[in-house]
Amino acid sequence: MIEIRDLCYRYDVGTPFEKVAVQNVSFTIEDGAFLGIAGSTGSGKSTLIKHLNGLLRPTSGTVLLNGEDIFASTYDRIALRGKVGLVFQYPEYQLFEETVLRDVMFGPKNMGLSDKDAKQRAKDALSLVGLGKEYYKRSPFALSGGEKRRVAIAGMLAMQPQVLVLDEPAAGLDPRMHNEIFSLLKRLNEEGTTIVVVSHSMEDIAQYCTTMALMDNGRLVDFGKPAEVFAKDHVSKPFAARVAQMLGDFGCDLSGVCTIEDLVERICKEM
Amino acid sequence: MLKDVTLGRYYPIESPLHELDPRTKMVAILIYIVTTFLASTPITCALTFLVLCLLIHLSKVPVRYMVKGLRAVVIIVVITDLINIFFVENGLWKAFIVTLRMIEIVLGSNILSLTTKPKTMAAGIEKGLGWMKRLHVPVHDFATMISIAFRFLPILTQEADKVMEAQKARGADFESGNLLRRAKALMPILIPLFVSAFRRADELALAMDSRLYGSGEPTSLHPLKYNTSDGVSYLLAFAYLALVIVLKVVHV
Repeated sequence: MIEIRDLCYRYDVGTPFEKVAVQNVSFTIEDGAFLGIAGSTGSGKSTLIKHLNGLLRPTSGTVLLNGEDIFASTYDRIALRGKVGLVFQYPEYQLFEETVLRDVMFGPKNMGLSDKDAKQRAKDALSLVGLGKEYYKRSPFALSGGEKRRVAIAGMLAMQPQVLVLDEPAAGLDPRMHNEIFSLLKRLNEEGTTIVVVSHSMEDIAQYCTTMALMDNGRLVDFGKPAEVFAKDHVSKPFAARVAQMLGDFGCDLSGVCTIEDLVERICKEM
Repeated sequence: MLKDVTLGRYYPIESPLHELDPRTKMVAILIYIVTTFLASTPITCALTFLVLCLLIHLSKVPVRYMVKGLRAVVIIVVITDLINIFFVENGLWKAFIVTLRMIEIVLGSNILSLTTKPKTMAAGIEKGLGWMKRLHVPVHDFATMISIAFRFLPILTQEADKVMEAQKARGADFESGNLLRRAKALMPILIPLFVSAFRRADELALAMDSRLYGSGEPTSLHPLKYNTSDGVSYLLAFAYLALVIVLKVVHV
């Protein structure tokens, strides 16, 4: 369980570049949740998630992981990186090793695992993202964009974090890769990993997330089940919710609908 | 971490120095740096230092921010100082002069970059060296190269920060271990950084090509013009140079 308590973060304190990025944000991420964080560009989403594994130190407020303050001076923040895995936007730009397998082994080896264990974990992680043996010895720089992305995500999966945080994991991918990545996340979530996804796509949030947080201008504007949040008017709605609203204007009661499946089911019932 | 690098970074405020024409500033700073090399007596050293303080004051950039730029040269200064003190005759005074000179040169050039937008600086170089066009020197390309180099500095430091964060998220540790271990720990940052620098350079070249770079003589949207303050600044700068030379000649 991750508790974010009254978190504030300001960039470049004391210079003319000073900027408030996150302001008084508090919420709790339950174990096993699939949380979506939405908000426009510059709303502080990316800054917020960098606090979850201790990369940024908050200007004020704190984050608790399983009840322990991760910014306490005695907390082992290197070990924390293995518990809360953070996959950045365009993670393919972090690849550096000569072979795919060695790049995926980087994380587990930093956690102090032996070569043998790290290799096993790397192989497991690569098979999770659908990359087989034939990729192990290839150079990560010679792969296609989608494959690179999968290698980078595998690099984090190999650390087997309890909580996996991803910033726009599907940005710039084709629809098929996009679905594959989200299906993978769903599967991991069902197996017990807590997933946090930053996304601009309300469709994805409606489809996959159990909870959503809505950020605007560094503040948390709303937090709750996607169906509840999308019922309000302060957020751009996913396609199904928009259709439901339009049909609602014609007298059909389709409140609380936010995925296509729900929509079809409810319309069929109405008819 | 890398955000602490102030070299080549513009400080966006208004001050008399920000207002000046880039050519004036470049010539003045060049003169200033020459004088730091001429200064070797207590009086001339005091004078150059006084001028530095005056320039910092005029630039309105906080002293703390300015001094941050010195971190980069601390090691060089310490090493030269040690060599001077232990191996050179009258080493203490020599070490003092060298230290002062380094500080003055770094801060002097810092003042220039903190008060001048890279773009304006490139325009200044282009116009200031315009006469060389007649000698078929590609002054415009040269100025473009310089402005691109300046533009890429903050981009690359940001990128390095990003890669560093990403590798830290994968458990990389850059802050402990001996020198060799730390140097090795840099590979996961340097390689992605090089890859992305080349990619960016490629993309930039394509973007410039698609906007027809090099197909004709470009014109300037805001042509540089000298004001009265520039004239006064030139006068002061040359008077100051003359003063230092005179002091040097009469051995004061």
